Amino acid sequence: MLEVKNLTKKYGSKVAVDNISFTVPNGKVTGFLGPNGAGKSTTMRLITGLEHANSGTALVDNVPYRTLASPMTSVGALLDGKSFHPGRSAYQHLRTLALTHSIPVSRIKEVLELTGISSVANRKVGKFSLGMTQRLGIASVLLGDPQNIILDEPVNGLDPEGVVWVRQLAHYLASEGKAVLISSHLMSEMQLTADDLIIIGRGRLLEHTSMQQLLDRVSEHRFMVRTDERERLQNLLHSRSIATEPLEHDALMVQAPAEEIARLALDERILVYELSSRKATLEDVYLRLTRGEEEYSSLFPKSSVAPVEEPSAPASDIPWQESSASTPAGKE
Amino acid sequence: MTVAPSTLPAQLSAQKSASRAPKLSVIGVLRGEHYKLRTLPSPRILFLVALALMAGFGALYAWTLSMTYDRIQHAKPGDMIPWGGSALPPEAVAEQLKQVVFYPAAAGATLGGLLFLSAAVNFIATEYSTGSIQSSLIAVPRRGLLLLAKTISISVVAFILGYAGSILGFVLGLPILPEAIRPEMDGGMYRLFALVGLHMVVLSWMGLGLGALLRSNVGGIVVAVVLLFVLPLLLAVFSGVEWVKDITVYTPSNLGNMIMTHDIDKVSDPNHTVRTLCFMAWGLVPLVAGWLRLRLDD
Repeated sequence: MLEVKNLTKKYGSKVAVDNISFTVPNGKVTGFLGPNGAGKSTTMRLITGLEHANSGTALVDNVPYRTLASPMTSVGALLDGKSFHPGRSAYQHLRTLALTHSIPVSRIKEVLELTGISSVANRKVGKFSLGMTQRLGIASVLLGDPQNIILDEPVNGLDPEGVVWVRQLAHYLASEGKAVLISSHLMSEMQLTADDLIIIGRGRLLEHTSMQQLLDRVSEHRFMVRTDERERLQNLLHSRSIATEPLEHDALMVQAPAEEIARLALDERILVYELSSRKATLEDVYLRLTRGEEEYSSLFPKSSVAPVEEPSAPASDIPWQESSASTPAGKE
Repeated sequence: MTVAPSTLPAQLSAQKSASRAPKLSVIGVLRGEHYKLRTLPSPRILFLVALALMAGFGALYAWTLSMTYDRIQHAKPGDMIPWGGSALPPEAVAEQLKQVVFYPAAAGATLGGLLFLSAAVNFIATEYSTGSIQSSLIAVPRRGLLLLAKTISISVVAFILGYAGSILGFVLGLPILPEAIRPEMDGGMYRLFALVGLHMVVLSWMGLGLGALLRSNVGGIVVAVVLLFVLPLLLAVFSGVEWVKDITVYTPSNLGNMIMTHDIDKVSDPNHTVRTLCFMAWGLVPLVAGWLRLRLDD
């Protein structure tokens, strides 16, 4: 189990990690999400003792990392895909680690085979592709058969087969009762991999919940409606205090039961030629939660497909609602 | 090149090898660091070149002593023979010659020592430049243990190779020296070989400490060159000042040369033990500073 309590890390005046607390339990895959510069890697480095925290604690199985009697069997961490000497072979790199904990040579061969790089074990790491170094990093993680796994962007550079393999590996390790913490920017993959989610932005904890709870929160009664009288339908729905969001050129995302939408359209003789359920994706939720929390933003316009908003309607039509609820989150 | 398909996790448990529970140990860390040193190409090359230098300079020094002996033998009355930057009567040079016939064993120690120091800098600074320090610190989070293991590993190698290089220099120089002045293999010679080994060990400590402190191959070697070669030159400029003359004795290059002596009982003020301890301090101080940086910054 990994436990972080009131953890803070500052670099001069910049607060990289701002008083965050969370637990990565045994037996689950916990996704660790956040924009670039949010503090994910710094948090992982704090957990593995590579950085000193300004305040708070980061514990591995209830003890600080640096005091672990057997670090490689407690934690397997892949934090940087390039933490290898290019002049050594994959086998030699693993051997240098294995010797510190008296891990037998047979285990080295096992993890090389497990990660699919046994055929290049004697090749110098400097000649590896990105995917091969990632696999070597994962092999290093598994070498001590650790109880806690920390993977920072493990699927970088992996082919689709490798991406699926990492997902299966994470599930398997969690099923063995291990605590697995994975960070990734592949939302679709994270949605399939993680049981729980931790989302941070600008060093602060934004969300810590289960994947299912997070998606269910915004998925209820979401339907996409296509019609050639979009504006008329939109006005009709707003008059009934139903939130809508325009999509593409002829569609609306509507937060209401399908039957109600269909009946209202029928009553006003508005032709609807698509009415389909739309579950929120992790990407939708993540973009909404982290909007404004990015450390680095591009100048290019955002995608024309807006992220999912909380249900809302024009304030003038719903005088009994709180004014903050009438303003969609993040909108100016 | 495509890699093999990864083994599915379902086969993971079947592949688990039965073994003792792994645990971090001092011996394990030592073995790991020694394996790192053996598998790095740069230190191996530096060690080989250092051995070649020690052998070559030993032969070269023996040749210059042989030339001097010939001059003495063929000197006419009133002749002066060049020696140590000045010219002395043949009898005086003959007396000096008897004191230095042992030193083909140490002739290449200064340059060879610089290469041992560079290997030591490389041993730790390369971990930072390649990022592999992260793997090392994750596997061995106790910084003091990691640095101690590196120190022991390179010390053993430096002593053994320094001892061997000293013997090589002596053995190659011996047949070049005229028979009349060839030294015997006595206890003093074995002690000299060991002192050359110690010289390499201390310079390795300096290199390791500078590498840990500066985390740069170039930075560590440049600082070492300044300490070993530039500092004595600077002090020589002010050698007219009394206190400068006094502290010049304690520069690392002077101390290093002075401890590699055949007759330690003839060493006067400061005596050989004091000189040796002062020289070791030149290695220990950077090492401790490097450990502090490792502990506080990483």
